[in-house]
Amino acid sequence: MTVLNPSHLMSRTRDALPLLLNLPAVILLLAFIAYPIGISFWMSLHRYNLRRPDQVYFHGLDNYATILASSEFWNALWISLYFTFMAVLLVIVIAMAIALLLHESFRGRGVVRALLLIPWAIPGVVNGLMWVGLLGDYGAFNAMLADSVAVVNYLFGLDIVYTGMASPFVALNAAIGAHVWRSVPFACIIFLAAIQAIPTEQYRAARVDGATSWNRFRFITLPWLYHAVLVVAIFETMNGFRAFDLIYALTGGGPGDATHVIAWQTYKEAFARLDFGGANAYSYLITVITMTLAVIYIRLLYRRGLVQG
Amino acid sequence: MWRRASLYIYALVAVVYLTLPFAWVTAVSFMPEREVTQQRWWPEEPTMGNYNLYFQVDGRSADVGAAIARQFPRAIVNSLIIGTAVMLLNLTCGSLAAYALARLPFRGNLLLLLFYLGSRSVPGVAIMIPMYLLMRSYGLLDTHLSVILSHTTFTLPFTIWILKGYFQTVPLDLERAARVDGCTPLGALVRVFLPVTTPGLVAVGIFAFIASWGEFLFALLFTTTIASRPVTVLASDFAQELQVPFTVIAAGGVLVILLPLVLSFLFQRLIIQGIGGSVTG
Amino acid sequence: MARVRLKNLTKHFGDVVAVDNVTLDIADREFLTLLGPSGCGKTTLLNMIAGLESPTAGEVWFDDWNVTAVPPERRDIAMVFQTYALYPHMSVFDNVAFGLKMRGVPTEDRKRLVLEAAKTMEIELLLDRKPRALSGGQRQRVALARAIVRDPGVFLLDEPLSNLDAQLRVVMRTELKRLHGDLEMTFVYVTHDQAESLILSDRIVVMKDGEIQQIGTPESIYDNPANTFVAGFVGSPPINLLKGVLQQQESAAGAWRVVGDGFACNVSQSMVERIEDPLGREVFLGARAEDIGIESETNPEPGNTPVARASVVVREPMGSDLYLTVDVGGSNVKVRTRPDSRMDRGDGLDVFFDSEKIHLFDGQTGVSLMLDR
Repeated sequence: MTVLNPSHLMSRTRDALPLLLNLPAVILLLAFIAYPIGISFWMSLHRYNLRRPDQVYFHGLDNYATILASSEFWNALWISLYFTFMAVLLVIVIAMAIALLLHESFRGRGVVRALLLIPWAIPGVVNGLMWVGLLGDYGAFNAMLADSVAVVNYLFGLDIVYTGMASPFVALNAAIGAHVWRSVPFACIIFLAAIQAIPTEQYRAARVDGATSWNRFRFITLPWLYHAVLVVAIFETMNGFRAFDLIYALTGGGPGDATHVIAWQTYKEAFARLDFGGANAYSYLITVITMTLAVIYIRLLYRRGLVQG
Repeated sequence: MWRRASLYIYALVAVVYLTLPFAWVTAVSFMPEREVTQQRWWPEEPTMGNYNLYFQVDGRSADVGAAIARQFPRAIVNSLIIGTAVMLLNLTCGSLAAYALARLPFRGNLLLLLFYLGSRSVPGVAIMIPMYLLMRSYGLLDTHLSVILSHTTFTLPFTIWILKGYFQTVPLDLERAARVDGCTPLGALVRVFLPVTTPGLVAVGIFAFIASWGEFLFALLFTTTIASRPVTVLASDFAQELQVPFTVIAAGGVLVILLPLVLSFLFQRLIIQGIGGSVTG
Repeated sequence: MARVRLKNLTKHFGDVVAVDNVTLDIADREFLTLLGPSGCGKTTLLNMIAGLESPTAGEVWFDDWNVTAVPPERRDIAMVFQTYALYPHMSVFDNVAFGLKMRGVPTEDRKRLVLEAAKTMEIELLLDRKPRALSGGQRQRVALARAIVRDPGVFLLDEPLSNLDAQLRVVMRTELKRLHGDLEMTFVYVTHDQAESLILSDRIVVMKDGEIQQIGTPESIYDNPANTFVAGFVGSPPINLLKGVLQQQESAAGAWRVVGDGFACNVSQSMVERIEDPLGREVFLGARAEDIGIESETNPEPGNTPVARASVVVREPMGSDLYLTVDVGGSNVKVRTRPDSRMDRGDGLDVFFDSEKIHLFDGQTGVSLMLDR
């Protein structure tokens, strides 16, 4: 009697089952992310303006050339870079501060922990509307800002005129502040989990070795959080570059072009100018920039041997 | 002692930071219009008037923006339909994929992980035009399905990533024990693995729901009428109506936030453990 | 009730050979232990008996049933895991009843059987609790109850005691032995703890690098280890091994000795007769701590010359015994002696080996030269 070797059968089906299980997800993502991305690239090589639907033709990299030569693009890119850089930095600092607080044990910690999720639960566009109110003419924060400018003027004998959201500087940084506020909880959750994973013996050992509390943070907490900081940096970089709904609701890109972040610029290109070719070239550039940044971060993760395949 | 005190001050600052903007808007939503212009922090004469508009309690349809406000209940239903479908799609597609990645060694798993990670890093604006054309060509514009599909695709990679991490924390021996106890592979999955991973599934499901509830760009692009418009889009429509008093906008904002806020409070522990644990674990 | 036969069982994980061509016959109701260091393939072998791993080659038979391709749920087995693997979302009762439920046992019978098993394992009072509310020892009992309740033909245990603290381990060890006496089941037990294997087993299979080193009763493995690995792994403290060369004495005609750095040990004629080409052969001389005597306590028989002159390096009192580590020509040798000995660090002494109980192993391969060829 010949006995079928079952392991032989298994090895063929072994790869089939996991692939089958991944199939629904892969199909969805291929259909609604990979395919559109491909189309997006193809369209970016065309002249394609909805205002002239009869004049759709291939013209290679012309859209890219136009964009790279336009001051609008460079303005949007710099604003987005500034926006993203500040957002990543502030989110990491504030989220870390709150995570360290939540790691301490004190009465009422549960309350703080519950309140932590409030900003996260608020939809981006509602967040924008909310900050419109806060920073608008009658807004509570607007009054506070105006008062503090007055105090600064008085103390230092300066003559700063506070114009609220009409000032490009205020508008851009207010947008960053609102964006950061909403992004802090997610980052904080990640930091908190990472802090709680640090073995307490490490702190005891450092205490025995005579490390001050700053040194314990510097030489134990921070190295242990390296992975978490990178993860947050990846997420927040992506979020920074795609910030749209907040801008839409809070500033509408203004005043002037002060808050024309690149996602907003793309949206305008597509649906205000109806230039689909140009807008796709824009969106392709954003994708390339975020992907490049993501690859850099992921390489950093790999180099530290912190990502397992 | 000093340390205690500074810890509480620190905590207080954090609480103020996290809650003040929302608290102010909530307060404003109960103010009569004139109190806002006085830059108040607290309603002197609290009123439900701003909310009444949304539910037509006193039916003063002459109010500015009343036409849009009246669509609010319907928009909430739209958001509920979309969010629930997105959650269910995430849970089914996500848990299948994550289970394979976490449990079954196979060739190409690294490639798949990179594909998911790559999908996550594609910004929404980058695919909005092709997506719009795609939905248009399938006649899906202004349907729930178009929004559901787009929301599912941008939440799914994250869901898979989190669930994979979560699944890996479940000891393999549990399923082995179930097999020895007489379960088929599917039986072990249904009777042991899924119940044990319920907290993670709930966390991820809520996460997907809230993400969908709050998404704006695709919802704005794909929906044109109240047949499919979710609350986020309606809220922004409303705010762009001229002369709608901010108190009324604030009330609308509070209504939009209410459900995700309640969900995040209810499942707070699961979300914090589920998301935090598997991202860093 | 089942006899388990493994035929040329092999398991590869990629390029790693976890189990290499193992053939083994486990008798019905036998308590068989798979003993070896971590990574020796013992757990993989157990998993293949359970059906949790499929072999790369070879077959598994339960009595006259080839189960090689039978999934675990259809084999008549129960298993206790190192981590216990209790279902955290079920009460203790449901944990124990789960296997019965899956096999379609009616509710009434289920209840009766669970209560019986709970009584055997003395966990009747814990039935309503969830696993997380139990101590380590209680979890262990629940895991055992869950396994025995189904009255399986083969009972597989994967290092079940290794997560318990030392005292509890001794209690549960006794419990397991009682259980095996009461139940009419075949036990296959995996451990890296040689003491457990000696106490519990009918037979021990010593494994290393996926291969069987020796199969035998605890006594035979302890008394006649097949090679230096088994000799060193089974027994505590580990056997003393000294490298030396077989020589024939010129003065006393025919008398053989093993001579090495700082020692010379007589070897009986009957031992030498078993060895091929004894003259000049490199060997390992093995002697267990209890087979070594020292000058002050033992009265050497007339004509018995000391093996070595040594000095005490470490003194370790163990209550009922005293262990001395002594230096013999640069090697450490552990000696068991009476606890009232006054010997201490730095003292010099003469060391005697019981020439009937020494072991000789090949100097290159480590294989015993004492076993019948």
